[in-house]
Amino acid sequence: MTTNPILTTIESASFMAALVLYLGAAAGYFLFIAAKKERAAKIAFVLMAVAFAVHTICIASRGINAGRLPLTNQYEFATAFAWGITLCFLIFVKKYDFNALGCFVAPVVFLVIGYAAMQSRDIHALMPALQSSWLGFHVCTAIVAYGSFGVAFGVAMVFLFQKQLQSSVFARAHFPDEKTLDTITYRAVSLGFLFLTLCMITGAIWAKRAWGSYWSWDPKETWSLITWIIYAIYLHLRLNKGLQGRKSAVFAALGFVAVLFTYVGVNTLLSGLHSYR
Amino acid sequence: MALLAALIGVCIAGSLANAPRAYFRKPWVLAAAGLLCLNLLLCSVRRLPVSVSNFRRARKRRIGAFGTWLCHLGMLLVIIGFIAGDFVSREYSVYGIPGSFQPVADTGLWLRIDDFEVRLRDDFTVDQYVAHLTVSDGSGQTVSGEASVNHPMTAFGWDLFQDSTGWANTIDIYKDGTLQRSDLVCVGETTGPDDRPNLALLFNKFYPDFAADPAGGYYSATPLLKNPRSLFTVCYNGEIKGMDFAAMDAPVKVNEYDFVFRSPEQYTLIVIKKDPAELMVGISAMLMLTGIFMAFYWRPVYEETPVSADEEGTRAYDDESHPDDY
Repeated sequence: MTTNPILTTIESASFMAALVLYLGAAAGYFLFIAAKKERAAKIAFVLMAVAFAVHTICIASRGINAGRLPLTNQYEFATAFAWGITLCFLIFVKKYDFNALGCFVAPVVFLVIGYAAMQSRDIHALMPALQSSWLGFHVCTAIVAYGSFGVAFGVAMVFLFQKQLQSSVFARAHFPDEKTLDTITYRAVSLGFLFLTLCMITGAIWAKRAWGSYWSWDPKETWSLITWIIYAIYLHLRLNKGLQGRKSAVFAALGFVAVLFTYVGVNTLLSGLHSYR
Repeated sequence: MALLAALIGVCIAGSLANAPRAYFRKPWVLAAAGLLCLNLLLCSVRRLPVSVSNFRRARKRRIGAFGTWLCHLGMLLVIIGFIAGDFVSREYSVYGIPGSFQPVADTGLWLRIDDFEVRLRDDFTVDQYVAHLTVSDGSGQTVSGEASVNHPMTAFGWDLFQDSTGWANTIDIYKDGTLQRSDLVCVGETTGPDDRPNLALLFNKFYPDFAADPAGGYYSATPLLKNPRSLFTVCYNGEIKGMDFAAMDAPVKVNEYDFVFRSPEQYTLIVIKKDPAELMVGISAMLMLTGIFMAFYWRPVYEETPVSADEEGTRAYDDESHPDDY
């Protein structure tokens, strides 16, 4: 496929810049928590915000270069996945004034974009099955869902390490109390659950048009359902049984492990209709 | 909760199964789904009076009181519709080259493949597979149209999908210079002489633009019909006796027989489907989605404490864990 070399250069440069900035942010948050340097967290947040802006340029330049939504292969989805987590992170930090959340979210973002860096960045024209207007709806809803679950994972991890964190005065000053953490996790999961449901429904509509069957028990579909059930259990336990605290955090973390397996594990270990490399 | 946890185990095992569709039709899997349906039914029945009561008491966003109820009802109907569809839906496949006209199993329909084209880009990647079809219902009525990937055709209540494609050759079999039979053979199929049933020729693979790799191996340089070759295997009494490439219109001698490969064409596989439960599943999925949205983002506002069910009910509305609006 013919591509514009200037846009390719912009994409490559912005991707590398975003990768380095996310690494810098992760290092900053680590410094914040390990050396108790408050300024490090502030710098790390700025790095995350700048990385997000640069990352947006990267995705936009690829989209313009490819002449389509850049959401169709392993590289494109991984980079969009990292972008989605960062977007949700920035929104949640702004809403809850909880910058220390980055201690657990920034490394996840770096790992996901690092995974993207290991994939082929060649731009290919779309295969017939992917030439559908449903592609945008389906993948965008997945990005929001996965991003929300990523944030829920980060908050849940903060919760799980709460005991160690709360032992110092410094940490107590920068991390919300357990109740707030629990509420943030719940809200992130609620948002992710709604969008995961939407993602599965849009995927089913698209699958019907492309393959003639709205549900084929393809490994990706099955693992999306498993993820959906895990979060459904979390929500039921929380809403009906009043589950809060540590167990609730474990469930939220477990759900994100299922998300990661649905994304990375299924694509690498199990072949199916969603194997677009 | 235990049932949902068990379903996770069922799904994990299913994702590892060699034939997932068959696995998910096993009686014990269906029994688990049946139990879930029963559970959802009971939940829906128990939640309805609570939702109605909360609806009456709510001051604002009253409809939101039905969120969780709608979500469970939608889920129940999705599962029922899916299982019903799995058993009552009908699916057939027909393959052929342009010009073929054949019945579609016991549907009473006849399908003619008017034309089939593989649209290629400049770099020879496939842009689209397009089948031009005419469907007849036996009473003289016909419907013509196109079926391509992501754009199925509809005729007489059936959906027709462009599923896949492959190559076919016409293979003529001569015995002592006389044409004995002529068959259209697709890749993966066999043919053989009428008077020697233990002799078979398997059409393994087709190379439209045959090329040899200097490092060994063979490939097709382009998908265009520039230098066609067919890879075949000769089998005798079920045992492989030889394997070779055949050029078009050049006879391949096997004992007293000559096999001539000619007229390479791409066939298309059309899948014809009808699922009466599909609409129900679609509507139910929308109900479920609406229910989830209402449960989390359209929560009713009360002047007084809402009705609270027991632990199986809707404690959510007066739970401290939901301290404010979104």
